[in-house]
Amino acid sequence: MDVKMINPFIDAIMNIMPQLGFQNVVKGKLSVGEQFVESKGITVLVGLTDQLRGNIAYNFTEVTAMSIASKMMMGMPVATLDDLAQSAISELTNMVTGNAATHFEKDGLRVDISPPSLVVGEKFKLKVSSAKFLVVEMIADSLVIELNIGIE
Amino acid sequence: MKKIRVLIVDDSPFSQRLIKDALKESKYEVCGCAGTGRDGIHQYRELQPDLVTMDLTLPDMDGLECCRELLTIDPASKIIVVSAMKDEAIINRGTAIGVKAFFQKPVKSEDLLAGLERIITQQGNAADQQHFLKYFIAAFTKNIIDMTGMEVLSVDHSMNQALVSHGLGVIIGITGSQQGRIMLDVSMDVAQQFTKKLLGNAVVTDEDVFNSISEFTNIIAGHSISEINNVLKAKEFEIRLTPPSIIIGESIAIINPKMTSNTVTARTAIGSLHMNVGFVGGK
Repeated sequence: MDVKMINPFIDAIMNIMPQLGFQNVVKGKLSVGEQFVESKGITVLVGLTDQLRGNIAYNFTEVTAMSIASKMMMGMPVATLDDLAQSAISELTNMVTGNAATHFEKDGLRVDISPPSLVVGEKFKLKVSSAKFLVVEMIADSLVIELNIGIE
Repeated sequence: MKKIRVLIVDDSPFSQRLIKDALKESKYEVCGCAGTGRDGIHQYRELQPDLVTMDLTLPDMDGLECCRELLTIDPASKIIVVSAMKDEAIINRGTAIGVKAFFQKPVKSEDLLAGLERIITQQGNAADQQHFLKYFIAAFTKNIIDMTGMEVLSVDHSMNQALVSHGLGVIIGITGSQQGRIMLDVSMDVAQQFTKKLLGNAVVTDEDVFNSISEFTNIIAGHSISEINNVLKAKEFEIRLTPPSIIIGESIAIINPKMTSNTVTARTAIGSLHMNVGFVGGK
């Protein structure tokens, strides 16, 4: 898979996060993953189909997910990942993937996305649809979001 | 027919009037008007309306703040924003909180009615989606029998919101005119036994298990969606599938906030297989 495939996702995060109240959004480490994505605690899966097929796994620690949800809800305290916080995190990944799909479309690739599935647990791992996938960390106000991008 | 009750939260009597006029002689009735966010929250509790229209600039609080408070009180509340401002940032922040739709003032009656109709029919869609379940159940049981030669001893199904994995789950996203996902979920032990049956081998590797269970799920999803696409006929209603992802781990919760789903459990000689199918509102 072409490393350029990550750019629409980076652009999407850079575009969306400031709108949700984050000041400083930067790109962190980039690497190649093989076989499994080890969850940090909260992983959101979004599927892609049509001219690009694959899966994106957004990986967060629980504390990060709660901090992001709190900021998205205008600073409302979030002490547990309750329904409202779960909905906010799902919606974030939906917006980012949707925004990336729009970038792909501008480059002539039609992409359709599935609703997000939020996966929560103590210890689990995931396999995205391709054996190798790209891992990019995005850091928004020192909160780390890891994107695992597997495109067939 | 019972009218659909709407609460207007807007500090401008002129705007309140425009929205009331837009909804006149329709299936909607305005059950209350609030000029402040606090009054909006108070009236929401009292009146329990079916829909809320929300202005963004209220004298006592930000309109999105008020939306968030209403959604905290009632996560099922259906709120639309009707405001002079409508830009990408507002839409993204509002959507994150749970706002259903955004309209810019002055809103045209036909636009508002069409928008409200879309929100209301998302509920009606549930009946269609429930109807789709039979295609998934048919493909699920048929493929267990055809691909393994085992009998299906019983099939049960239950409706649920949250889902806890038994060890190995395969998720395939559903997109197009209907949005949702299908998940096949089995214990690691059943996954191994089932793979032995699928491959006809006495020994299987983990890799065999992941590949076989994921392809088995893909086949069930493919068969079900093909049948549904045949029923829906028109190209614009077509449903598509995303590739499978696999989740490995016990006591893992799989949550789709806007989704109601059905779990179908098929009991076989080697143990139970669980298929969960869920949809959110159609496009």
